[in-house]
Amino acid sequence: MQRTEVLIIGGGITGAGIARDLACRGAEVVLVEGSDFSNGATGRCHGMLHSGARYAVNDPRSAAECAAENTILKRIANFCIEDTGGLFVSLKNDDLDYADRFLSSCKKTGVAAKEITVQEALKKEPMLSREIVRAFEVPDASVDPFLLTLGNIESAREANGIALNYHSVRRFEIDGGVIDRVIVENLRNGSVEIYKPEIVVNASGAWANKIASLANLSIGMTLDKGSMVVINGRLTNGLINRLRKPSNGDIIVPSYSSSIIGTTSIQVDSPLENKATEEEVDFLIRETAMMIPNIAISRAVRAYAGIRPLCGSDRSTGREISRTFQLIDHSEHGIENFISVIGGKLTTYRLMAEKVSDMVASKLGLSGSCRTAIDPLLSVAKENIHAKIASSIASRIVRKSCLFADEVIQRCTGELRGMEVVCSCEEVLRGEVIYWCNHQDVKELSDLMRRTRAGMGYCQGGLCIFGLLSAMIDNSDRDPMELLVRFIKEREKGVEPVLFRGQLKEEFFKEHLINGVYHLDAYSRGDYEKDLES
Amino acid sequence: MSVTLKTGDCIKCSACNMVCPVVSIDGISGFSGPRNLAVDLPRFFAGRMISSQEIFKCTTCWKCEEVCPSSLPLSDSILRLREMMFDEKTLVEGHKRIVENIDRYGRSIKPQLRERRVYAKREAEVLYFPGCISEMRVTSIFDATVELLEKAGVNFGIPDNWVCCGAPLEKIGDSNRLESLKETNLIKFGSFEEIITSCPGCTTQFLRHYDRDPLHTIEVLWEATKKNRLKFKTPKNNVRVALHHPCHIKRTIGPQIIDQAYDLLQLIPRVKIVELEDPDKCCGGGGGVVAGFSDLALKLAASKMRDACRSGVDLLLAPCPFCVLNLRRANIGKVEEFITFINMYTEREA
Repeated sequence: MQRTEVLIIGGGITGAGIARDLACRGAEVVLVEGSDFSNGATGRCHGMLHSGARYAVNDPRSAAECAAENTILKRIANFCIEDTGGLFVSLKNDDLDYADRFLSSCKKTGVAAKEITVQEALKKEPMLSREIVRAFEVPDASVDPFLLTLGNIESAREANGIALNYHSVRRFEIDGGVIDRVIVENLRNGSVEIYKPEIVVNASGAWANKIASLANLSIGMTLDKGSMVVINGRLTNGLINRLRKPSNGDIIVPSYSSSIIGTTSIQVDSPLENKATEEEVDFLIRETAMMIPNIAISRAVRAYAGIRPLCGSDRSTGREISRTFQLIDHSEHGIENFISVIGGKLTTYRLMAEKVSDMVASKLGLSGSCRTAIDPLLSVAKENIHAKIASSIASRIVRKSCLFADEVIQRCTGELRGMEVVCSCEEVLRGEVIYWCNHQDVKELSDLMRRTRAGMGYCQGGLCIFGLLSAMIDNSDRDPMELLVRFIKEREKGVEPVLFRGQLKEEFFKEHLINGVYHLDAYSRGDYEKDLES
Repeated sequence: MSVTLKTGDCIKCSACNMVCPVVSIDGISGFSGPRNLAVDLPRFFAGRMISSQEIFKCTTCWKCEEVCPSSLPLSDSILRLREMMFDEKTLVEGHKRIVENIDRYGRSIKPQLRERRVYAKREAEVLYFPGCISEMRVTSIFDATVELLEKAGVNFGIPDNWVCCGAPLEKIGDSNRLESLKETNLIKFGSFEEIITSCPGCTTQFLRHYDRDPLHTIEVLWEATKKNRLKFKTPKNNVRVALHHPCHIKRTIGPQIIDQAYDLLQLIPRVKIVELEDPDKCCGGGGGVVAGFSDLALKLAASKMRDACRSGVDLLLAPCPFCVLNLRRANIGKVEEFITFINMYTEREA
């Protein structure tokens, strides 16, 4: 049994943010995550650092929060943010009065929006539709949610916090209105670990109700599915938003070598209903192509969906529920040391974490104040590494693995074949993969993918899987076939709704490789040996 | 960005790398191949290969596009990347020479002194564009073409002071100079509807960038034989020949010209046609590779000529001045330009 001051449940951006905040205030922190960090809504978001403009008209509180956090995050976490800037554009048939309301609301909520001429907009974004009539510049940015989460996790670890992925909470032992012990299953080895926390923070996002139910509580919240499509290639320089009342298919975010278009809003009953459908893909392509017509002829690589945990259980539509967050102190419900946090956005994670940490700190009687708005996420500036490795590759590695750039680059330059490109879609080097294979947090191929981007490109793991796998089993005793089959299944799920044109061809080719040449389908059926003999 | 879009449908099958003649000589470590250069490189363009000359090793043989199951414009993408990377200061020696020659003489090669016959007939119906190599290097092509066209009764003229078609500049990515050459030539072309060319490089250039529909000499001669305007002589001995299929005829102007070339050969008695195993294998003469990476071009030429020798032919015929020039550098076997060969065995219809 392990004592700790705070046990945080959930390794998304909220949990990671709270862990960092509290650890930096000197609290003893343990964070447990049922799968991998940022595997839930965090990793399935748009990767958009809001300027607040999107919410200015209808949700001023969220808008103001986003505007303030946008500036802070660009300062403390610039390593995972591409400050591309963004545009709001209205099309011919859009409500033009809305644009005026938009501008005045931005002013009121502190969002730096500025109208530019259509010519200026077309110069900034050559692929923009010629049908636009008004354009506004806003300080939106593209953010890597995986990296932002890992940054918070590592920062918490630097401050002696403990963060464990693949640790699933099974049970609470409640004694006299207090959660006395938390029973956690370690999914790496199947062992059971017992924690004795002074306070439990439920930051499990879409699973918040499930965790609350372990204490016989229920939380009024709505699960709202938002789907996105990854389009091959960066079609825009910055983010493009449709200037209208927030609706579906409004946003295009350039991210690494792709553009992400989204989103939809559909209420669902379970966090597991996170599959994007063909209809959603069609819809998103049609809607966003009105702003960037080239989207209609570009290759859709993958579709994915995240489940937004929204505050409130009224059955109004998901778009009308505020994007702000809610803090619930369950002492009102008879459990003294239990706090739940729901709602919010990636952009406002730090603010949420600060509020949660304030509440925890006051309960624990900690006096340290929050420093997360001041201290950069990375304490060590990583410089002068560029000289060792061709500069643009280095800058990409530094961007992706900034926390460990020195070690990763050492693997690339030091290992045999370390500079070999394993994933050519995303230009991932073998050295990067080897570094992460040896890392305690990496269990599955998809964990490797989240950290290196290998397999996220347009071939969706078609060619890199074997390179990844060989690095993975060199460094562990895991069953390669199991790893492979699980990873392929996971990738297939996101490719299914975009099986047309380029991606359809790709999947046919991969099908031929994976099942025709390597007989993996026979392995899944259980007659692999027999198939090999024949 | 536009490059990424057009090659975005790659399925990573590497069929292009498998057929790439440069990969077959240099290995994937010496030349990353069409997929890596035309598809992957633009995704991470910023800074990565700008200093590298690797992309200039492509001979633009278009073989990769022929086999690509997604029909990606791989060669075009490579040319487009060269254009984006173009920097006069970092050009390799041979490419620098091309640019200097163009600036000084309006030709891609340094002119050699020779007596120039003037053919600027006022009443000419069609225009003959000889191209730099035929006029100044493999001059037999120029002479043979003029004779043949006269035999065939074609009323042609050659404009004064024409300049290089710009194909070599396109291959090294110099789009500015290319544009000014094009302007100059278009003025010279004036009202001529029909243009005849000796060099598939010029033909391709006029077709793709001048918005004209030029004819290669083979097409003109083929038409002439249909009208019985050419009479063929019988060689003294049997000749065994093979036809090399130049990339820029077979895959850019049109494969029908290759068929027409075979038709013409069959009209000459005692000529035995031997089919090479891989007749459209690139000779290495295109893409600015001879000027830029002459060793590589030589290896490709040698490989082609060894194929020809092994098939037991007396003569390899190549309907392209660039191919002839490069294949002869290999010093293996005998190469003759196609039109020159045809001219040897034709006479004027009485």
